[in-house]
Amino acid sequence: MTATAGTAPAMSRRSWRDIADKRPWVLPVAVVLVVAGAWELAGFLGLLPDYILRPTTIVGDIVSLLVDGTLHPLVLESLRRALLGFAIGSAVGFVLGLLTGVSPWFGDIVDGPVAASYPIPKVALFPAIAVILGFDDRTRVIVIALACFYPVYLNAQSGTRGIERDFVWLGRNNEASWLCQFRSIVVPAALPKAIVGLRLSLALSFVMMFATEVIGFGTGLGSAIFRARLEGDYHLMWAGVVVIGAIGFIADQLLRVIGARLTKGQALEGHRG
Amino acid sequence: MAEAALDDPRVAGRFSLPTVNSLLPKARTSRRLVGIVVAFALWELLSRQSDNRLIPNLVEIWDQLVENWRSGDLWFHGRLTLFRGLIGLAIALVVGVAVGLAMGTNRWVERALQPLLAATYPAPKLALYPIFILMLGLGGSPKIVLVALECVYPIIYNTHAGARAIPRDLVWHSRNTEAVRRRRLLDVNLPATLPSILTGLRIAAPIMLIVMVVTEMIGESRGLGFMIMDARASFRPAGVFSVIIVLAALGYVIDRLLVLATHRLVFWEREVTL
Repeated sequence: MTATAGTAPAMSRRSWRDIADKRPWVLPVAVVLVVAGAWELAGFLGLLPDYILRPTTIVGDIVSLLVDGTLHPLVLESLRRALLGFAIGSAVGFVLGLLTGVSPWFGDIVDGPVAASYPIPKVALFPAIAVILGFDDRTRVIVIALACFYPVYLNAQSGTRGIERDFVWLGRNNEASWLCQFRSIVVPAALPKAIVGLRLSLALSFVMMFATEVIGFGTGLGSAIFRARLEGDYHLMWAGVVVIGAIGFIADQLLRVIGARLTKGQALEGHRG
Repeated sequence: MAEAALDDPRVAGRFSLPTVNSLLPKARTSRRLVGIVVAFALWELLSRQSDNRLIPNLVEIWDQLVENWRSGDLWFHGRLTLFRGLIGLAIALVVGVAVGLAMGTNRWVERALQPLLAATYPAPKLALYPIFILMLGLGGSPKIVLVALECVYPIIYNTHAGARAIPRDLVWHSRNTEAVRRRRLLDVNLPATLPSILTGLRIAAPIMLIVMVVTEMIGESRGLGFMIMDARASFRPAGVFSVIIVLAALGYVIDRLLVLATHRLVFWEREVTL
Protein backbone atom coordinates (compact mmCIF):
# COMPACT_ATOMS: atom_id res chain seq x y z
CA MET A 1 0.00 0.00 0.00
CA THR A 2 2.58 2.50 1.12
CA ALA A 3 4.96 1.19 -1.49
CA THR A 4 2.58 1.90 -4.38
CA ALA A 5 1.69 5.27 -2.96
CA GLY A 6 5.37 6.04 -2.77
CA THR A 7 6.31 4.92 -6.26
CA ALA A 8 3.39 6.31 -8.23
CA PRO A 9 4.36 10.00 -7.93
CA ALA A 10 8.00 9.12 -8.51
CA MET A 11 7.07 7.34 -11.74
CA SER A 12 4.97 10.19 -13.00
CA ARG A 13 7.66 12.71 -12.15
CA ARG A 14 10.20 10.68 -14.09
CA SER A 15 7.93 10.42 -17.11
CA TRP A 16 7.44 14.20 -17.11
CA ARG A 17 11.18 14.62 -17.07
CA ASP A 18 11.51 12.14 -19.93
CA ILE A 19 9.10 14.15 -22.04
CA ALA A 20 10.91 17.40 -21.23
CA ASP A 21 14.27 15.87 -22.13
CA LYS A 22 13.23 14.08 -25.32
CA ARG A 23 11.09 16.91 -26.66
CA PRO A 24 12.72 20.09 -25.38
CA TRP A 25 10.27 22.27 -27.30
CA VAL A 26 7.21 21.06 -25.36
CA LEU A 27 7.75 23.12 -22.21
CA PRO A 28 8.63 26.46 -23.85
CA VAL A 29 5.74 26.08 -26.30
CA ALA A 30 3.44 25.38 -23.34
CA VAL A 31 4.69 28.54 -21.61
CA VAL A 32 4.06 30.60 -24.76
CA LEU A 33 0.59 29.10 -25.17
CA VAL A 34 -0.33 29.84 -21.56
CA VAL A 35 0.86 33.46 -21.82
CA ALA A 36 -0.81 33.97 -25.20
CA GLY A 37 -3.99 32.33 -23.89
CA ALA A 38 -4.10 34.63 -20.86
CA TRP A 39 -3.45 37.63 -23.12
CA GLU A 40 -6.19 36.51 -25.50
CA LEU A 41 -8.63 35.96 -22.63
CA ALA A 42 -7.87 39.35 -21.09
CA GLY A 43 -8.46 40.97 -24.47
CA PHE A 44 -11.66 39.00 -24.98
CA LEU A 45 -12.96 40.14 -21.59
CA GLY A 46 -12.08 43.73 -22.47
CA LEU A 47 -9.48 44.14 -19.75
CA LEU A 48 -6.82 45.49 -22.10
CA PRO A 49 -6.60 49.05 -23.47
CA ASP A 50 -7.49 49.46 -27.14
CA TYR A 51 -3.86 49.75 -28.28
CA ILE A 52 -3.03 46.25 -27.04
CA LEU A 53 -4.42 43.90 -29.65
CA ARG A 54 -5.15 40.24 -29.05
CA PRO A 55 -2.67 37.65 -30.40
CA THR A 56 -5.25 36.22 -32.82
CA THR A 57 -5.97 39.73 -34.15
CA ILE A 58 -2.24 40.36 -34.69
CA VAL A 59 -1.80 37.10 -36.59
CA GLY A 60 -4.86 37.88 -38.70
CA ASP A 61 -3.53 41.38 -39.41
CA ILE A 62 -0.16 40.03 -40.54
CA VAL A 63 -1.88 37.64 -42.94
CA SER A 64 -4.16 40.29 -44.40
CA LEU A 65 -1.33 42.85 -44.68
CA LEU A 66 0.76 40.24 -46.50
CA VAL A 67 -2.13 39.41 -48.81
CA ASP A 68 -2.93 43.01 -49.76
CA GLY A 69 0.79 43.70 -50.30
CA THR A 70 1.43 46.51 -47.79
CA LEU A 71 4.05 44.57 -45.88
CA HIS A 72 6.30 43.22 -48.70
CA PRO A 73 7.84 46.49 -49.91
CA LEU A 74 8.46 47.69 -46.35
CA VAL A 75 10.12 44.43 -45.31
CA LEU A 76 12.24 44.21 -48.46
CA GLU A 77 13.42 47.79 -48.15
CA SER A 78 14.44 47.39 -44.51
CA LEU A 79 15.97 43.97 -45.09
CA ARG A 80 18.08 45.28 -47.97
CA ARG A 81 19.55 48.00 -45.75
CA ALA A 82 20.20 45.73 -42.81
CA LEU A 83 21.81 42.97 -44.86
CA LEU A 84 23.89 45.33 -47.00
CA GLY A 85 25.24 47.06 -43.89
CA PHE A 86 25.80 43.71 -42.20
CA ALA A 87 27.61 42.28 -45.24
CA ILE A 88 29.94 45.27 -45.61
CA GLY A 89 30.66 45.73 -41.91
CA SER A 90 31.20 42.09 -41.09
CA ALA A 91 33.30 41.42 -44.21
CA VAL A 92 35.67 44.26 -43.34
CA GLY A 93 35.64 43.18 -39.69
CA PHE A 94 36.38 39.56 -40.57
CA VAL A 95 39.32 40.29 -42.88
CA LEU A 96 40.79 42.99 -40.67
CA GLY A 97 40.29 40.89 -37.55
CA LEU A 98 42.17 37.95 -39.08
CA LEU A 99 44.98 40.15 -40.41
CA THR A 100 45.45 41.94 -37.10
CA GLY A 101 45.32 38.63 -35.30
CA VAL A 102 48.04 37.14 -37.48
CA SER A 103 50.34 40.15 -37.44
CA PRO A 104 50.87 41.47 -33.89
CA TRP A 105 52.54 44.63 -35.18
CA PHE A 106 49.74 45.57 -37.56
CA GLY A 107 47.30 44.39 -34.92
CA ASP A 108 48.50 46.84 -32.28
CA ILE A 109 48.28 49.79 -34.67
CA VAL A 110 44.71 48.99 -35.72
CA ASP A 111 43.69 47.98 -32.20
CA GLY A 112 44.40 51.48 -30.86
CA PRO A 113 41.75 53.35 -32.87
CA VAL A 114 39.34 50.40 -32.66
CA ALA A 115 39.58 50.25 -28.86
CA ALA A 116 39.26 54.04 -28.65
CA SER A 117 36.13 54.14 -30.82
CA TYR A 118 34.59 50.97 -29.38
CA PRO A 119 32.68 52.64 -26.50
CA ILE A 120 30.94 55.12 -28.84
CA PRO A 121 27.31 54.09 -29.31
CA LYS A 122 27.39 53.82 -33.10
CA VAL A 123 23.85 55.18 -33.40
CA ALA A 124 25.24 58.51 -32.23
CA LEU A 125 27.28 58.64 -35.44
CA PHE A 126 24.10 58.54 -37.52
CA PRO A 127 23.31 62.26 -37.22
CA ALA A 128 27.01 63.06 -37.53
CA ILE A 129 27.29 61.28 -40.88
CA ALA A 130 23.87 62.61 -41.85
CA VAL A 131 25.27 66.12 -41.55
CA ILE A 132 27.55 65.26 -44.46
CA LEU A 133 25.47 62.82 -46.54
CA GLY A 134 21.95 63.65 -45.40
CA PHE A 135 19.42 61.25 -43.87
CA ASP A 136 19.44 58.81 -46.74
CA ASP A 137 20.19 55.18 -47.47
CA ARG A 138 23.94 55.58 -47.80
CA THR A 139 24.13 57.01 -44.29
CA ARG A 140 21.97 54.22 -42.90
CA VAL A 141 24.04 51.48 -44.52
CA ILE A 142 27.29 53.09 -43.34
CA VAL A 143 26.07 53.29 -39.74
CA ILE A 144 24.78 49.70 -39.78
CA ALA A 145 28.10 48.56 -41.27
CA LEU A 146 30.06 50.47 -38.60
CA ALA A 147 28.05 48.84 -35.82
CA CYS A 148 28.45 45.37 -37.38
CA PHE A 149 32.21 45.79 -37.77
CA TYR A 150 33.16 45.62 -34.09
CA PRO A 151 31.78 42.26 -32.90
CA VAL A 152 33.10 40.43 -35.99
CA TYR A 153 36.48 42.16 -35.79
CA LEU A 154 36.95 41.39 -32.09
CA ASN A 155 35.78 37.78 -32.36
CA ALA A 156 37.72 36.98 -35.54
CA GLN A 157 40.82 38.42 -33.91
CA SER A 158 40.40 36.42 -30.73
CA GLY A 159 39.73 33.37 -32.93
CA THR A 160 43.22 33.65 -34.38
CA ARG A 161 44.68 33.69 -30.87
CA GLY A 162 43.49 30.14 -30.34
CA ILE A 163 45.14 28.64 -33.44
CA GLU A 164 47.17 25.60 -32.54
CA ARG A 165 50.89 26.21 -32.98
CA ASP A 166 51.28 22.78 -34.55
CA PHE A 167 49.16 23.73 -37.54
CA VAL A 168 51.19 26.87 -38.15
CA TRP A 169 54.44 24.90 -37.92
CA LEU A 170 53.02 22.27 -40.23
CA GLY A 171 52.17 24.95 -42.76
CA ARG A 172 55.63 26.51 -42.53
CA ASN A 173 57.26 23.13 -42.76
CA ASN A 174 55.41 22.44 -45.98
CA GLU A 175 56.62 25.78 -47.33
CA ALA A 176 53.06 26.77 -48.00
CA SER A 177 52.72 30.30 -49.34
CA TRP A 178 51.49 33.03 -46.99
CA LEU A 179 48.13 33.14 -48.74
CA CYS A 180 47.78 29.38 -48.65
CA GLN A 181 48.57 29.28 -44.91
CA PHE A 182 46.12 32.09 -44.32
CA ARG A 183 43.38 30.37 -46.28
CA SER A 184 43.79 26.83 -45.07
CA ILE A 185 44.93 27.37 -41.46
CA VAL A 186 43.96 30.79 -40.15
CA VAL A 187 40.50 31.15 -41.69
CA PRO A 188 39.11 27.73 -40.67
CA ALA A 189 40.66 27.94 -37.21
CA ALA A 190 39.21 31.36 -36.50
CA LEU A 191 35.82 30.60 -38.05
CA PRO A 192 33.96 29.24 -35.00
CA LYS A 193 34.75 32.34 -32.96
CA ALA A 194 34.08 34.61 -35.93
CA ILE A 195 30.64 33.09 -36.36
CA VAL A 196 29.80 34.06 -32.78
CA GLY A 197 30.72 37.60 -33.78
CA LEU A 198 28.66 37.33 -36.96
CA ARG A 199 25.60 36.33 -34.97
CA LEU A 200 26.03 39.27 -32.61
CA SER A 201 26.45 41.58 -35.60
CA LEU A 202 23.41 40.22 -37.38
CA ALA A 203 21.23 40.89 -34.33
CA LEU A 204 22.82 44.34 -34.08
CA SER A 205 22.13 45.07 -37.75
CA PHE A 206 18.38 44.76 -37.13
CA VAL A 207 18.54 47.01 -34.07
CA MET A 208 20.46 49.58 -36.12
CA MET A 209 18.08 49.15 -39.04
CA PHE A 210 15.14 50.05 -36.81
CA ALA A 211 17.03 52.90 -35.12
CA THR A 212 18.18 54.53 -38.36
CA GLU A 213 14.74 54.27 -39.89
CA VAL A 214 13.05 55.86 -36.91
CA ILE A 215 15.51 58.71 -36.36
CA GLY A 216 14.86 61.52 -38.81
CA PHE A 217 11.87 59.65 -40.20
CA GLY A 218 13.04 57.54 -43.07
CA THR A 219 11.26 54.81 -44.94
CA GLY A 220 10.89 51.09 -44.35
CA LEU A 221 9.41 48.88 -41.70
CA GLY A 222 10.80 50.80 -38.69
CA SER A 223 9.41 54.15 -39.73
CA ALA A 224 6.11 52.50 -40.75
CA ILE A 225 5.75 51.11 -37.21
CA PHE A 226 6.45 54.50 -35.71
CA ARG A 227 4.15 56.37 -38.05
CA ALA A 228 1.44 53.81 -37.36
CA ARG A 229 1.67 54.63 -33.65
CA LEU A 230 1.34 58.36 -34.32
CA GLU A 231 -1.65 57.78 -36.59
CA GLY A 232 -3.25 55.31 -34.22
CA ASP A 233 -3.06 52.44 -36.74
CA TYR A 234 -2.37 49.84 -34.06
CA HIS A 235 -2.94 46.92 -36.44
CA LEU A 236 -0.04 47.91 -38.68
CA MET A 237 2.09 48.76 -35.61
CA TRP A 238 1.70 45.35 -33.99
CA ALA A 239 2.08 43.49 -37.27
CA GLY A 240 5.31 45.39 -37.96
CA VAL A 241 6.72 44.72 -34.49
CA VAL A 242 6.02 40.99 -34.75
CA VAL A 243 7.40 40.80 -38.29
CA ILE A 244 10.65 42.56 -37.30
CA GLY A 245 11.06 40.10 -34.44
CA ALA A 246 10.36 37.16 -36.74
CA ILE A 247 12.89 38.41 -39.30
CA GLY A 248 15.54 38.70 -36.62
CA PHE A 249 14.82 35.18 -35.42
CA ILE A 250 14.79 33.64 -38.92
CA ALA A 251 17.99 35.41 -39.95
CA ASP A 252 19.71 34.15 -36.81
CA GLN A 253 18.56 30.58 -37.44
CA LEU A 254 19.79 30.74 -41.05
CA LEU A 255 23.18 32.01 -39.94
CA ARG A 256 23.34 29.25 -37.37
CA VAL A 257 22.70 26.57 -39.98
CA ILE A 258 25.24 28.09 -42.39
CA GLY A 259 27.74 28.45 -39.56
CA ALA A 260 27.29 24.84 -38.52
CA ARG A 261 27.96 23.74 -42.11
CA LEU A 262 31.07 25.88 -42.44
CA THR A 263 32.54 24.67 -39.18
CA LYS A 264 31.65 21.04 -39.64
CA GLY A 265 33.60 18.96 -37.16
CA GLN A 266 34.43 21.93 -34.96
CA ALA A 267 32.42 22.65 -31.85
CA LEU A 268 30.41 25.79 -32.52
CA GLU A 269 30.79 28.19 -29.67
CA GLY A 270 27.73 29.90 -28.30
CA HIS A 271 25.72 26.81 -29.16
CA ARG A 272 22.46 26.92 -27.32
CA GLY A 273 19.85 24.23 -27.28
CA MET B 1 57.84 32.70 -13.55
CA ALA B 2 60.27 33.76 -10.82
CA GLU B 3 61.45 36.85 -12.74
CA ALA B 4 57.88 37.86 -13.37
CA ALA B 5 57.21 37.68 -9.66
CA LEU B 6 60.20 39.91 -8.94
CA ASP B 7 58.95 42.53 -11.39
CA ASP B 8 55.57 42.49 -9.76
CA PRO B 9 55.45 45.56 -7.47
CA ARG B 10 53.08 43.81 -5.10
CA VAL B 11 55.58 41.01 -4.58
CA ALA B 12 58.74 43.10 -4.63
CA GLY B 13 57.43 45.30 -1.86
CA ARG B 14 56.40 48.91 -1.84
CA PHE B 15 59.85 50.33 -1.13
CA SER B 16 61.65 48.80 -4.11
CA LEU B 17 62.72 51.11 -6.89
CA PRO B 18 61.00 50.65 -10.25
CA THR B 19 63.06 48.62 -12.68
CA VAL B 20 64.18 50.08 -15.98
CA ASN B 21 61.82 47.83 -17.88
CA SER B 22 58.80 49.02 -15.99
CA LEU B 23 59.64 52.66 -16.70
CA LEU B 24 59.83 52.28 -20.49
CA PRO B 25 56.48 52.25 -22.23
CA LYS B 26 55.73 48.82 -23.58
CA ALA B 27 56.19 48.47 -27.33
CA ARG B 28 52.63 47.23 -27.60
CA THR B 29 51.16 50.27 -25.90
CA SER B 30 53.22 52.70 -27.93
CA ARG B 31 52.16 51.04 -31.19
CA ARG B 32 48.55 51.31 -30.10
CA LEU B 33 49.08 54.99 -29.32
CA VAL B 34 50.65 55.45 -32.76
CA GLY B 35 47.47 54.03 -34.27
CA ILE B 36 45.29 56.46 -32.33
CA VAL B 37 47.49 59.43 -33.19
CA VAL B 38 47.47 58.47 -36.88
CA ALA B 39 43.68 58.23 -36.80
CA PHE B 40 43.37 61.69 -35.23
CA ALA B 41 45.91 63.12 -37.68
CA LEU B 42 43.96 61.70 -40.62
CA TRP B 43 40.79 63.26 -39.25
CA GLU B 44 42.48 66.63 -38.82
CA LEU B 45 43.91 66.43 -42.34
CA LEU B 46 40.48 65.55 -43.74
CA SER B 47 38.80 68.45 -41.97
CA ARG B 48 41.44 71.00 -43.04
CA GLN B 49 41.38 69.65 -46.59
CA SER B 50 37.62 69.69 -47.03
CA ASP B 51 37.11 73.40 -47.09
CA ASN B 52 33.69 73.42 -45.44
CA ARG B 53 32.21 73.26 -41.98
CA LEU B 54 30.83 69.73 -42.41
CA ILE B 55 33.87 68.01 -40.92
CA PRO B 56 34.93 70.03 -37.86
CA ASN B 57 38.57 69.94 -36.84
CA LEU B 58 39.67 68.76 -33.43
CA VAL B 59 40.09 72.26 -32.00
CA GLU B 60 36.53 73.20 -32.93
CA ILE B 61 35.21 70.02 -31.34
CA TRP B 62 37.19 70.67 -28.16
CA ASP B 63 35.99 74.30 -27.98
CA GLN B 64 32.41 73.14 -28.38
CA LEU B 65 32.94 70.56 -25.66
CA VAL B 66 34.24 73.20 -23.24
CA GLU B 67 31.39 75.53 -24.14
CA ASN B 68 28.81 72.79 -23.58
CA TRP B 69 30.31 72.15 -20.17
CA ARG B 70 30.46 75.82 -19.20
CA SER B 71 26.87 76.51 -20.22
CA GLY B 72 25.71 73.59 -18.08
CA ASP B 73 23.98 71.90 -21.04
CA LEU B 74 26.24 68.90 -20.86
CA TRP B 75 25.66 68.41 -17.15
CA PHE B 76 21.88 68.82 -17.47
CA HIS B 77 21.40 66.44 -20.41
CA GLY B 78 24.16 64.02 -19.51
CA ARG B 79 22.93 63.62 -15.95
CA LEU B 80 19.46 62.74 -17.18
CA THR B 81 20.73 60.20 -19.72
CA LEU B 82 23.00 58.57 -17.17
CA PHE B 83 20.37 58.56 -14.42
CA ARG B 84 17.69 56.91 -16.55
CA GLY B 85 20.12 54.50 -18.13
CA LEU B 86 21.51 53.37 -14.79
CA ILE B 87 18.04 52.79 -13.36
CA GLY B 88 17.25 50.59 -16.35
CA LEU B 89 20.56 48.78 -15.93
CA ALA B 90 19.89 48.25 -12.22
CA ILE B 91 16.48 46.72 -12.96
CA ALA B 92 18.10 44.50 -15.61
CA LEU B 93 20.76 43.45 -13.10
CA VAL B 94 18.27 42.45 -10.37
CA VAL B 95 15.89 40.66 -12.73
CA GLY B 96 18.69 39.13 -14.79
CA VAL B 97 20.56 37.73 -11.80
CA ALA B 98 17.35 36.34 -10.29
CA VAL B 99 16.27 34.65 -13.53
CA GLY B 100 19.79 33.49 -14.36
CA LEU B 101 20.28 31.93 -10.92
CA ALA B 102 16.85 30.29 -11.09
CA MET B 103 17.76 28.81 -14.47
CA GLY B 104 21.12 27.69 -13.20
CA THR B 105 19.76 25.94 -10.12
CA ASN B 106 16.43 24.62 -11.33
CA ARG B 107 16.26 22.40 -14.42
CA TRP B 108 12.57 23.06 -15.01
CA VAL B 109 13.02 26.81 -15.14
CA GLU B 110 15.96 26.25 -17.45
CA ARG B 111 14.00 23.94 -19.76
CA ALA B 112 11.11 26.40 -19.94
CA LEU B 113 13.02 29.66 -20.39
CA GLN B 114 16.23 28.92 -22.24
CA PRO B 115 14.70 28.22 -25.68
CA LEU B 116 12.43 31.24 -25.35
CA LEU B 117 15.33 33.53 -24.48
CA ALA B 118 17.45 32.11 -27.30
CA ALA B 119 14.60 32.68 -29.75
CA THR B 120 13.88 36.26 -28.70
CA TYR B 121 17.52 37.29 -28.27
CA PRO B 122 18.11 38.12 -31.98
CA ALA B 123 14.80 39.99 -32.30
CA PRO B 124 15.30 43.76 -31.92
CA LYS B 125 13.50 44.70 -28.70
CA LEU B 126 13.87 48.31 -29.78
CA ALA B 127 10.86 47.78 -32.05
CA LEU B 128 8.72 47.53 -28.90
CA TYR B 129 9.45 51.18 -28.07
CA PRO B 130 6.26 52.56 -29.70
CA ILE B 131 4.21 50.08 -27.66
CA PHE B 132 5.97 51.09 -24.45
CA ILE B 133 5.26 54.72 -25.30
CA LEU B 134 1.57 53.91 -25.62
CA MET B 135 1.60 52.04 -22.32
CA LEU B 136 3.77 54.40 -20.25
CA GLY B 137 3.62 57.70 -22.11
CA LEU B 138 6.58 59.68 -23.42
CA GLY B 139 9.36 60.61 -21.05
CA GLY B 140 11.59 58.52 -18.86
CA SER B 141 9.67 55.34 -18.10
CA PRO B 142 9.44 53.74 -21.58
CA LYS B 143 13.18 54.36 -21.99
CA ILE B 144 13.98 52.75 -18.64
CA VAL B 145 11.83 49.72 -19.46
CA LEU B 146 13.45 49.36 -22.87
CA VAL B 147 16.96 49.62 -21.39
CA ALA B 148 16.05 46.99 -18.80
CA LEU B 149 14.62 44.69 -21.49
CA GLU B 150 17.64 44.96 -23.80
CA CYS B 151 20.18 44.67 -20.98
CA VAL B 152 18.55 41.78 -19.18
CA TYR B 153 19.46 39.30 -21.94
CA PRO B 154 23.26 39.34 -21.64
CA ILE B 155 22.96 39.39 -17.84
CA ILE B 156 20.63 36.38 -17.75
CA TYR B 157 22.77 34.56 -20.29
CA ASN B 158 26.02 35.10 -18.38
CA THR B 159 24.52 34.49 -14.93
CA HIS B 160 23.01 31.26 -16.18
CA ALA B 161 26.29 30.13 -17.74
CA GLY B 162 28.15 31.03 -14.55
CA ALA B 163 25.65 29.30 -12.28
CA ARG B 164 25.87 26.15 -14.38
CA ALA B 165 29.66 26.20 -14.21
CA ILE B 166 29.88 26.17 -10.41
CA PRO B 167 32.22 23.30 -9.44
CA ARG B 168 30.24 20.25 -8.37
CA ASP B 169 32.14 19.71 -5.14
CA LEU B 170 31.35 23.27 -4.11
CA VAL B 171 27.64 22.54 -4.53
CA TRP B 172 28.01 19.23 -2.68
CA HIS B 173 29.92 20.85 0.16
CA SER B 174 27.27 23.50 0.54
CA ARG B 175 24.52 20.85 0.56
CA ASN B 176 26.48 18.90 3.12
CA THR B 177 26.35 21.79 5.57
CA GLU B 178 22.58 21.43 5.52
CA ALA B 179 22.26 25.16 5.26
CA VAL B 180 18.85 26.40 4.19
CA ARG B 181 18.33 26.99 0.49
CA ARG B 182 18.36 30.78 0.79
CA ARG B 183 21.68 30.72 2.65
CA ARG B 184 23.23 28.43 0.06
CA LEU B 185 22.05 30.66 -2.77
CA LEU B 186 23.41 33.81 -1.14
CA ASP B 187 26.63 32.38 0.26
CA VAL B 188 27.66 29.91 -2.42
CA ASN B 189 25.82 30.28 -5.71
CA LEU B 190 25.79 34.07 -5.87
CA PRO B 191 29.50 34.63 -5.11
CA ALA B 192 30.53 31.76 -7.36
CA THR B 193 28.50 33.32 -10.19
CA LEU B 194 29.72 36.87 -9.51
CA PRO B 195 32.49 36.93 -12.18
CA SER B 196 29.99 35.91 -14.86
CA ILE B 197 27.43 38.42 -13.63
CA LEU B 198 29.99 41.19 -13.94
CA THR B 199 30.90 39.99 -17.44
CA GLY B 200 27.22 40.21 -18.36
CA LEU B 201 27.06 43.70 -16.88
CA ARG B 202 30.07 44.71 -18.97
CA ILE B 203 28.26 43.58 -22.11
CA ALA B 204 25.03 45.27 -21.02
CA ALA B 205 26.50 48.70 -20.19
CA PRO B 206 27.23 49.76 -23.81
CA ILE B 207 23.79 48.46 -24.82
CA MET B 208 22.31 50.75 -22.18
CA LEU B 209 24.01 53.76 -23.79
CA ILE B 210 22.84 52.73 -27.26
CA VAL B 211 19.20 52.39 -26.18
CA MET B 212 19.28 55.67 -24.27
CA VAL B 213 20.74 57.58 -27.21
CA VAL B 214 18.34 56.09 -29.76
CA THR B 215 15.26 56.71 -27.67
CA GLU B 216 16.39 60.24 -26.87
CA MET B 217 16.82 60.95 -30.55
CA ILE B 218 13.16 60.14 -31.19
CA GLY B 219 10.71 62.79 -30.07
CA GLU B 220 12.52 63.82 -26.91
CA SER B 221 13.73 67.22 -25.75
CA ARG B 222 16.22 66.17 -23.12
CA GLY B 223 19.26 63.92 -22.86
CA LEU B 224 22.50 63.46 -24.78
CA GLY B 225 20.68 61.93 -27.76
CA PHE B 226 18.58 65.08 -28.01
CA MET B 227 21.73 67.23 -27.76
CA ILE B 228 23.10 65.46 -30.84
CA MET B 229 19.88 65.90 -32.80
CA ASP B 230 19.63 69.52 -31.71
CA ALA B 231 23.18 70.29 -32.82
CA ARG B 232 22.52 68.60 -36.15
CA ALA B 233 19.27 70.48 -36.70
CA SER B 234 20.98 73.81 -36.05
CA PHE B 235 23.84 72.70 -38.30
CA ARG B 236 26.66 72.55 -35.76
CA PRO B 237 28.75 69.50 -36.72
CA ALA B 238 31.24 70.32 -33.97
CA GLY B 239 28.37 70.15 -31.48
CA VAL B 240 27.40 66.70 -32.75
CA PHE B 241 30.93 65.35 -32.41
CA SER B 242 31.49 66.93 -28.99
CA VAL B 243 28.55 64.92 -27.60
CA ILE B 244 29.80 61.78 -29.36
CA ILE B 245 33.12 62.20 -27.55
CA VAL B 246 31.29 62.57 -24.25
CA LEU B 247 29.38 59.35 -24.98
CA ALA B 248 32.60 57.53 -25.81
CA ALA B 249 34.18 58.77 -22.58
CA LEU B 250 31.10 57.74 -20.62
CA GLY B 251 31.16 54.26 -22.13
CA TYR B 252 34.86 53.94 -21.41
CA VAL B 253 34.60 55.12 -17.80
CA ILE B 254 31.67 52.79 -17.05
CA ASP B 255 33.60 49.87 -18.51
CA ARG B 256 36.74 50.68 -16.51
CA LEU B 257 34.67 51.03 -13.33
CA LEU B 258 33.19 47.59 -13.94
CA VAL B 259 36.67 46.13 -14.49
CA LEU B 260 37.79 47.79 -11.27
CA ALA B 261 34.76 46.40 -9.46
CA THR B 262 35.58 42.97 -10.86
CA HIS B 263 39.11 43.18 -9.47
CA ARG B 264 37.82 44.33 -6.09
CA LEU B 265 34.88 41.97 -5.73
CA VAL B 266 36.33 38.88 -7.36
CA PHE B 267 39.51 38.90 -5.30
CA TRP B 268 39.93 35.13 -5.56
CA GLU B 269 40.42 35.15 -9.32
CA ARG B 270 43.64 37.08 -9.53
CA GLU B 271 44.94 35.72 -12.80
CA VAL B 272 42.08 37.20 -14.78
CA THR B 273 43.40 39.84 -17.15
CA LEU B 274 40.93 42.26 -18.63
